[in-house]
Amino acid sequence: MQCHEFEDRLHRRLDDRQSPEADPQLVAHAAACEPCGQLLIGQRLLLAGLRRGVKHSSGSQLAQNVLAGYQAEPMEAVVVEGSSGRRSWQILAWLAATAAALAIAVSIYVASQPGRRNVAVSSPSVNAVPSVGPKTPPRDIAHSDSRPPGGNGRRAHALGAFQLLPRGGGYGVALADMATSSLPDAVERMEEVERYAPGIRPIRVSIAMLWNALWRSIPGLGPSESDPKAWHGRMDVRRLV
Amino acid sequence: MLALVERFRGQVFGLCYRMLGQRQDAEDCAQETFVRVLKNLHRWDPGRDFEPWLLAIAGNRCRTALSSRKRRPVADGMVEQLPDDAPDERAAQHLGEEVQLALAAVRAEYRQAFVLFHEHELSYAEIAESMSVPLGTVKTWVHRARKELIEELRRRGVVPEPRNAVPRV
Repeated sequence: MQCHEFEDRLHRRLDDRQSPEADPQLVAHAAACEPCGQLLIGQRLLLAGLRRGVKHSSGSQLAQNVLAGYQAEPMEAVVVEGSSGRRSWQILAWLAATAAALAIAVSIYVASQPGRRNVAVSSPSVNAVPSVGPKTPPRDIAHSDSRPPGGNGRRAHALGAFQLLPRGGGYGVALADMATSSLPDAVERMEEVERYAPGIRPIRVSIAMLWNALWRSIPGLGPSESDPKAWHGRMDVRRLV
Repeated sequence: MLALVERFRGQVFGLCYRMLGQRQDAEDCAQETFVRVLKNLHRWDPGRDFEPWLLAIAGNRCRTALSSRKRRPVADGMVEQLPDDAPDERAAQHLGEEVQLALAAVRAEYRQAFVLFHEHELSYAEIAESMSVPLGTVKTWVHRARKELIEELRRRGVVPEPRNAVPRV
């Protein structure tokens, strides 16, 4: 028997809760091989020491202490519930922010696909729009199509950008218009909502940051070489934060 | 409720003492364990054994206590002398103390798996369930614990060193 076989066999015996000394092959190898013999002695001493066990100390008060701790439980439960509730709310807020950011990203991606242009342009369906607006108050969308072209028409045009897309290569212009006016406006108008629901601040900040990051990557709309600090569609995230 | 504490206090205190090595810490941990168990009794699945579930909670409390102890260092290598009933058991008690010191030197996961297997005689499957790790991992931990404990006992002079440094084959 090799030494590694001895060790494997020793562990198997111990795993099966059998005495290693009852295995003649193990005993024979341990007698012939000093390191393995010491290993066998070591196991015996280890288990003997463990069997020595732990004496219970004067734990007569344990039951009373447990009872007292258990009776003090309701107050603790309230604290735990409060913190976990706050945590779940934060998770919900960040999930909502992520969903909104994803919706914006997907909308831009879909809009920028050359193969989709014709479909989007030829289809007058309003259903294509909703994914674009991140938490925009519904009244803005409703009004956007009903307002006359003048006055606040830029915003109206921008919000309805996907329906009003000019044919023949005007998609980028419409997209830019939407991005430079409606989304930043919508996000900033969320301030009003925030007065009543301060919890939406992370959502608003997330959208603004994501939008700025996306906008930076679109050619022609990011910071220009002449004035790197000024560019269209930028939202002042620092002000939001 | 009190009957439950009385019935299992030995097992819980035993594990806590093995894990923490100090009587006061073990008592505190055992108390926390029972309070937690009583609070969460409705979560116990009656279709399963109670003891592994109870010892899982005790193990978790011990590991929490150990991690907070890391931030608050205590005297190292200290094993408290528990009252001895019979003087003629001194040698056996000494061996028990050495094993306790050796246990303190191995990783907490190894220690918990080893104690649950050899002292509390839980099966590998029960330990795996209570520690939320695969069965193979528990086996590996117990095997490593055995090896490291013997090494530690050897370092402490409890297990004799081989006289000839014959390489094992």
